[in-house]
Amino acid sequence: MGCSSQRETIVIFAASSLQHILEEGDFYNQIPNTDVLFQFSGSHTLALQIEHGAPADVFLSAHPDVMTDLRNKDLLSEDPISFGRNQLVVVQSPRFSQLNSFEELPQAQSIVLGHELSPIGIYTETFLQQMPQDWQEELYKKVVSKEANVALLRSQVLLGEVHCAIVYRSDAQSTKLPFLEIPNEYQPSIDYQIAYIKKEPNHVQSQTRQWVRLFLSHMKHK
Amino acid sequence: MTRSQISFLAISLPLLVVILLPIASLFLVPSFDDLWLGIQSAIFWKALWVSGWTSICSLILIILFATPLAWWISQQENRIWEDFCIVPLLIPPTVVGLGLLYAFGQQGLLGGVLAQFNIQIAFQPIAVILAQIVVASPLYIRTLIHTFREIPQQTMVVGATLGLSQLEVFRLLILPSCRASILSAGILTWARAIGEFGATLLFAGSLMGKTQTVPLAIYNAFMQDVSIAVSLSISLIVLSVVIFVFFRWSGTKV
Repeated sequence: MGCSSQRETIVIFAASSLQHILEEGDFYNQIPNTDVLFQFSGSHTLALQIEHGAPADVFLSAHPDVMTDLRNKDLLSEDPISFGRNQLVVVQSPRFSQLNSFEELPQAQSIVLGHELSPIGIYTETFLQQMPQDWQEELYKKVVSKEANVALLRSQVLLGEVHCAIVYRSDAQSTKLPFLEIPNEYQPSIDYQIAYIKKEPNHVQSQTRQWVRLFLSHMKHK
Repeated sequence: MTRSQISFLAISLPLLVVILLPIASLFLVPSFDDLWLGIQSAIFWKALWVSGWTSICSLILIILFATPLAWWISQQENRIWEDFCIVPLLIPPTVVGLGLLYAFGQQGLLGGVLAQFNIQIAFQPIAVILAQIVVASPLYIRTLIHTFREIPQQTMVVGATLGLSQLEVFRLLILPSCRASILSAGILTWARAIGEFGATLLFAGSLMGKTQTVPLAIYNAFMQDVSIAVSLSISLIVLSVVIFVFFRWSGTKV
């Protein structure tokens, strides 16, 4: 019996907000004989590409609606699994005079938010809707841009181009910038999901399962 | 300087600054450490590799196929063919990318048929080449159409008196005289192909070493580690300048 020394490739499509976790943790080299390739983008863009035949083995989405959409189109080979908790926080650039609490957000110099159709935008909307109407109005006056992808929000604050952004805690922590907490009662329920994409031949490769198991156990310890 | 020269300078200077300042800032603002960090990353070299080989393929294919096309269009009375060619230039590249998905993706017009034969185009390296060709060839074709139109009728007459066929006239008389234009059109086209982003992102995806070109890597790096984005940007500028200078000094009219 010969040994199968053929290198396999696994393609992981993941929401941009997961880029840091995935590139920090050692998810490349732990599975023997396997190359792991990542593509990061907004969850919706990735889903669109999957619908058009993009060669993803695994998809990690920042919002369950995107995953449900793919499931309804019969593109998943198994049901998605929820993983990871995340929360919204307000990250600030040190170049501007600092706010002391999230309530002061309407007083920021400039704010960037997630685009309404992206997961970060949907979650942000859910949070903002709970605040008083005039507070929201004041805040929207300071919004200078809406991005389709949370990594862009993070970069803009990191570069000091904007004062504040509402991002995920994981994004804020990786910037090492100070951030403001948003109390639990206002937090939207953020649900990341992971699923296997249906591919020919129609069974999930063992290396792919290994990777997913590795990832999920890493997330449990976070 | 005369007064009118000063006026010209005064009007042109703001635009010159706007055009040149972004490029100069890339070189002057980031630190050398940032640059060095960027050059050492895997994403940097893999992106250069993907951009390098795909753009050269695109250029060769464009020169091979678009040159005769441009000639044919230039000989037509009806300008409508020329108008067709300008369409990809008018559409935003992201829209072109979406169109490519709907044409060559698995559910696409042509892509669906090809999928039956197990041929996949979207999200493969060939998709990078296709996207580059679609956005860059209109530029090439337009430039050459103008060049071909300026060829005096005399050349055609000479060819006819020598008993040459249309094809031979094209190959033996027209092409050699247009070498410089083809080269200069080629350089512009190559630059456009290398810089292609929107269509490539959507249609080819962004997998390191496979389909992630330099512009896609810059975008990816920007979301993560700006120093890599800066290194890639600078390397692209340097590469373009080197090629431009090379052709300038080799005496070709660019």
